[in-house]
Amino acid sequence: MRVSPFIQILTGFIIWSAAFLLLYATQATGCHLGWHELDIGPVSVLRLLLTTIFVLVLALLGGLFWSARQVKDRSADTSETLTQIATTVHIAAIVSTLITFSGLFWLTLC
Amino acid sequence: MFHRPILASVAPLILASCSGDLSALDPAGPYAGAIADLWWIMLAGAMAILTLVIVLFGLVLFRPDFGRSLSAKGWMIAGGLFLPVPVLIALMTYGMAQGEYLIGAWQNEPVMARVEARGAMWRWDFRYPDIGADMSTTETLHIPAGGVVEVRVTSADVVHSFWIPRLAGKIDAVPGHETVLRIKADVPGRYAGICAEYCGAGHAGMRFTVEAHAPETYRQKLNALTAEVPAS
Repeated sequence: MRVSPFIQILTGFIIWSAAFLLLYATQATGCHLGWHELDIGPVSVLRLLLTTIFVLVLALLGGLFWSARQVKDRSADTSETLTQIATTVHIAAIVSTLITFSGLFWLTLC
Repeated sequence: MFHRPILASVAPLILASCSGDLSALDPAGPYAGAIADLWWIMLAGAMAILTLVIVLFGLVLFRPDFGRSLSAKGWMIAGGLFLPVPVLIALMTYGMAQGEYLIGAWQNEPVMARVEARGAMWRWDFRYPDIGADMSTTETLHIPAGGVVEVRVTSADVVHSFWIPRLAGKIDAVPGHETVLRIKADVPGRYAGICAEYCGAGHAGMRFTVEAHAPETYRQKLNALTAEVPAS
């Protein structure tokens, strides 16, 4: 399936934004419902849930980055340039995800 | 020649503006001290970055060959990624660690007193569950000096923000929700507090006073207040 490079450029940080909202909403809801006090082994249910979301988001961004690099249709210069920008933006989104959400592993949740 | 005496006379004036009843740069306890440290670190960092940029700019102006060994793309990567990213990561990590310290996550220091602060348009009411269920004061919060005081903050109407600049950071007072802040005054004294979240026409006047008493007289002072006996 051929995806417009414009869509590819936008996708990475739209996913990052959605993950930001989802993580905050999960954290606030979990704190309210006391999920931080339920333990599964060494970690709380809330931290495990947030970590799962974090890993899924990284996997999604990684998959998109990989698929953006697989584009074989290099029919036009513009398309090639945009594809290059899209892969760079995906890298930036992955790095941003790693940096901005890393606090969920070590900060007090509630 | 002349700039030394000028600097010597101006510096105290500038530094004097850092003190005062509502100055976060004049901390009177460890929590406010941690925030002041962060502020000074950010100031020093900002000055270092500004100096670096000015020096680079000066070199480019006065030595046109400067920097030719690095391509334009190289300069963009160095100045746009290699310089700011580590600085921002370090600052974020330090800030988060300070935040953990401020909410008491990494401390074993015992809590000396627990108080409740309730914001309402436009005043602060305080309760003292440690001492008595009916113990309360308005506009003045009494705490023991030299120990950690845990303040549970809430609101009766809109969102307010509880802030004693010389003792701790801000914490929101949210209706229907309780937020927790730790404060500590090293020595007995009076400290000013304000509402730091715009909350309507009376926001600017929504002030309060913190009176830190010597631990041995704290309970006595509060008991005297409720018995309506003027505390000496």
